[in-house]
Amino acid sequence: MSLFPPSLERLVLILARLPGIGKKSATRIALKLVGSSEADCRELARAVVEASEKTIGCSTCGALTECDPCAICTDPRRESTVICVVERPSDVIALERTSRFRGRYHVLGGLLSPLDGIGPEDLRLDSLVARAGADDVSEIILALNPTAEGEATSLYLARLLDGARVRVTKLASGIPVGGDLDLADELTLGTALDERREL
Amino acid sequence: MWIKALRLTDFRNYGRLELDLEEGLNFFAGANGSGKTSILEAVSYLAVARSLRGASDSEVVRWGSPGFGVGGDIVADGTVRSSTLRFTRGGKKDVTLDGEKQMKLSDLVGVLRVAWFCPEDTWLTKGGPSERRKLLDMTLCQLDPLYLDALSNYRRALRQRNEALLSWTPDEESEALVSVWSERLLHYGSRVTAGRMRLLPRLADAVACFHENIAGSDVLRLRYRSTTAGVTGSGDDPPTEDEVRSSFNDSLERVAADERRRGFTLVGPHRDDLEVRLGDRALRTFGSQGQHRTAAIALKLGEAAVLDSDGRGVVVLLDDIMSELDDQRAASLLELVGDLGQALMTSTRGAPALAAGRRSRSFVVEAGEVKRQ
Ligand SMILES: Nc1ncnc2c1ncn2[C@@H]1O[C@H](COP(=O)(O)OP(=O)(O)OP(=O)(O)O)[C@@H](O)[C@H]1O
Ligand SMILES: [Mg+2]
Ligand SMILES: [Zn+2]
Repeated sequence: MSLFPPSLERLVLILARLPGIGKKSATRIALKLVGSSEADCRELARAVVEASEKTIGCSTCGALTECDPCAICTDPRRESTVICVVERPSDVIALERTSRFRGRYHVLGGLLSPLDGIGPEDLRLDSLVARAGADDVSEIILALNPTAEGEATSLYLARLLDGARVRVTKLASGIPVGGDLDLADELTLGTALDERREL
Repeated sequence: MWIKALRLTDFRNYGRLELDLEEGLNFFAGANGSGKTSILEAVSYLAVARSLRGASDSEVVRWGSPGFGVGGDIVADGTVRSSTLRFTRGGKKDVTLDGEKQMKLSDLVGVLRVAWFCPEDTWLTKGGPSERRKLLDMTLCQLDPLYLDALSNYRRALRQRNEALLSWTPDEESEALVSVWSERLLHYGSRVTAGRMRLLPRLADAVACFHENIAGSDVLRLRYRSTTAGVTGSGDDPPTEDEVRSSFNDSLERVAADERRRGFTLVGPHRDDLEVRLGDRALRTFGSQGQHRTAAIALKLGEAAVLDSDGRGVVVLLDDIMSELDDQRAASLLELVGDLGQALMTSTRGAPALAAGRRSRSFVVEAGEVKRQ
């Protein structure tokens, strides 16, 4: 039997589904919310709905955006000759924070993982090959996490792009083995980008 | 090094537990199922980020809880370091050192080193190779963070490759997938094998020395038997990582057709063995009960000595060894490990007799609660 009224209990359960939020934090947040003004609650609810409705994946690079193609893909000041391949949209944000990269991105949407049933057909590979084949593209940088899956995917991509007339490079091993681009500090990530090497 | 304080949250049958430990011997008495081994198991998480009892991370989470936490204040080189490991079901393990979140589990390595003794150790020389591989792996993991990374990545790559082999069909796409995982297997696997070969002579010396002290007679020798052609040996002239890699690659090529037919990886460090030889015979096939017991203790003491080789100390975990050893043997084992540093010992019976001058503290464990006696 729950100690909370049903609607509050439901809110706690929904909050607890969010990453990094356990039952305890969910309860704290829910109690804070029901204690705040109706206007504040409506604003939060509206923000959640609006963000989820407006945020889409860029049809070119796969990054999160409100207008398609995204601001990076359409920015004329960014080099169209270099494409940096990442796993998730959040990796784009991590790399942008370094302000070291002036090219464009390509989000794969995952990594090869037979255990999770993720194969080449589940990744945004066709569009990558097409972009790599465009006349002005000269370098593809693979910036995947240095995990077993990240490294295996990098090798797969290097072989896949072997036919294209582009240089394929990989982030230097500045990111510790088993580390996460998301957690790497800007300096480490920036250095790894500067010292990338040919595959 | 020694553990000054230990904290458990939702670990096995403990909801919340805080313990202040003694620098010498800590003795935990309690009935079967009260939670004694779980305390030692929690300590093993602080050393190698996993259960030395061999459980998976979700198995040790208290039933009905979303995750567990283990924390400890560890005294070493005159300073206290506070480390915490947290695990959430379906998520990753996180490590915090002195309040700062670490990027990877292996950042924990070296803060605390442990050697685990338990009754099942007698199977070390009698049973299959997995326990012997574990002895090598858990020693190396505590000495070398790169080894821990290589080993966990190797296990991951192995599972991925097996999955890819299982769904293999004779076409280019399928072969391309298996081949990227073969490359990963070679990469991490050659590090693992080369690491084991480098450790072998040191471990063998320490083990032979303890064995001679206990048994006197025949020499106990260690030999690595590899599924990778050309690697087998005593490690006196250990192969480099590149040499291992090229032999491993040859071996993979030799079994390629077989692997695709059977659907799993047939060669690699996960199938290697550490052969224990007494005199010039393999102990596993001819050893007597007593010879196995002595060899197992020598192996474990050898492991502890190697872990302590830089003199920073090792925490010895003795789980229920009195049920296997008589009082006399248990007392002499306690004397030997007492010299290595702090010990945590469990028993269903009363505390053992200690030599004069040894500091100790006794606890009573009862259904997930621990009281100091
Ligand atoms: N995930 C879990 N959640 C809650 N309780 C658990 C969990 N796993 C095991 N237990 C219970 O925790 C208790 C403690 O187990 P533990 O192995 O530590 O006991 P012990 O004191 O070492 O016993 P013995 O003397 O038999 O070796 C057991 O009763 C076991 O059933
Ligand atoms: Mg037990
Ligand atoms: Zn875009």
